[in-house]
Amino acid sequence: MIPREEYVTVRGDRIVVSYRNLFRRQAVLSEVSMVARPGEVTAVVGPNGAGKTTLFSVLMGFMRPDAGVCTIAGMDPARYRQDRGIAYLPETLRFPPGWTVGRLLARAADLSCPPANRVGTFESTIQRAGLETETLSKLVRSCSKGTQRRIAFAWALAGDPRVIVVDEPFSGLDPASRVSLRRQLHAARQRGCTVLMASHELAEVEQLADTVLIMQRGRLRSAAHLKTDGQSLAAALASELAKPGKR
Amino acid sequence: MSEVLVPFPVRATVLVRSRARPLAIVLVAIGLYLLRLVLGAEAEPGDLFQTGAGLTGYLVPLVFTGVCSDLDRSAGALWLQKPVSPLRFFLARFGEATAVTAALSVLLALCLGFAASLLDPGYSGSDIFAASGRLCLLALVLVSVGFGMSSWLPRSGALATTALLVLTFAIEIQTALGATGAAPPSVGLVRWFLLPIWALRDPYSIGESGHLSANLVWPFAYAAIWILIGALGIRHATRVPARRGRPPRGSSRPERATGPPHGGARP
Repeated sequence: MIPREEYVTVRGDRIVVSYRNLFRRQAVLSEVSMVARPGEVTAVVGPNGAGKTTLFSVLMGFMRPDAGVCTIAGMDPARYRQDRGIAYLPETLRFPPGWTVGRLLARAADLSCPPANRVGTFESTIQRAGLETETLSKLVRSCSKGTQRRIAFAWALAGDPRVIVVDEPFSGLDPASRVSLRRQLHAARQRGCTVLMASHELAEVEQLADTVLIMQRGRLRSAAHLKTDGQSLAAALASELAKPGKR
Repeated sequence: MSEVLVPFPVRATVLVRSRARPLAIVLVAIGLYLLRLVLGAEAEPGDLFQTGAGLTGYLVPLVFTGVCSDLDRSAGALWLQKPVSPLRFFLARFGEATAVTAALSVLLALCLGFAASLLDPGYSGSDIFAASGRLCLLALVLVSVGFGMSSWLPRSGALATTALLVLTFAIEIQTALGATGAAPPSVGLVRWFLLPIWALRDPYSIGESGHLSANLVWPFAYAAIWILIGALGIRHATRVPARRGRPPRGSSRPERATGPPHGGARP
């Protein structure tokens, strides 16, 4: 077993993924190698269809690569996820029907923690999400899109997992919720969590990310360490995407 | 302290609420059918009860058969991002679905029995208690089939279960109508997959062997096989450690990276 406090590195080494059906095969990721380090926010940017979400699915063990190796803290990602849990905020949310906000977050505490910590985890989850008391008794599916994203992120963070994966986290959020989410991601980084983020919002990425991976057509075009390189992300992205592809 | 913040009764309530619409449709359909029987012909209260209980026993479980319906959707990722064993998680959901289905079926049968006794004060409700066990067994068998089907076909498991039920009845009716000649081997093979209607119809009767258990063993064994199929389906979908696939055609299998991967400078 890994000690709870250990810093966790997420590695992908020459990951190859292709979607297949009976008639055709489409390469989605072509030999993508990357590292996301603890205490850093690693952002993945690129145009639609670049393979960002697929990369996250592979890194979390929800999808098997055709070739290549992914590890989280040296373990198989699916095993790590089942053993320790990974906070995952998907781009499209689809909550199960029938659950109220309060019960769903209580269920998150049930699934994330040993019995002795569940009440404390539930209370801290509610507090962290900044949800009003009357919201807790509402059906999750009847909440607004922004509130649903806050609930989903609160659900993901219950139990304080060490790896956080967020896919388009700022989509549909009002300015206040954006600030709150940014603060939470920043706090997670301060706690030593490994944060992986995919976003089209370059201003948010520039504020949060330590490392930016630029992807296009399933290939990793470059990796920039913003804090040391000191370049504008928009400029870096534009120059990378303007370069001729390897295909 | 072993505190569960969302205990089983609450999860059962959530499950019923999540299926409220299809459940209401099924109940209204059963009610209309029974009303038609009452208005259209001289129906004995006992017959009405048997018909209503039969319909309830077969239709209510169908509402709850999609046990693993979110195994490959984002709702599945919502549950499975937590440190839980997928097999234990979905088996617990199977248990909830079975218990809720059995309880609802028995409750509806009790209501039907009460209505039958109102229609005919002379009607004794002895059938009701005999039917309760049969309804629980039906719930177990049908939800097990749904569990097995939805673990392999998450999006269409409930539909496949319904199709199996319809096929079972179609072959039963064909057999009852006295189809002559020996059945082809394919029909004999298919029968092994069909619901054991003959055992479920009267599981407590003492068969030719003279043992009560002989009739009960088959539905339990059938349910156990489908639970096993479901467990294998979940295992297949969430296999650990992840199996490495083949490289795409036309490319050699990449070797392990020797240089440092992308990702910026080390802190």
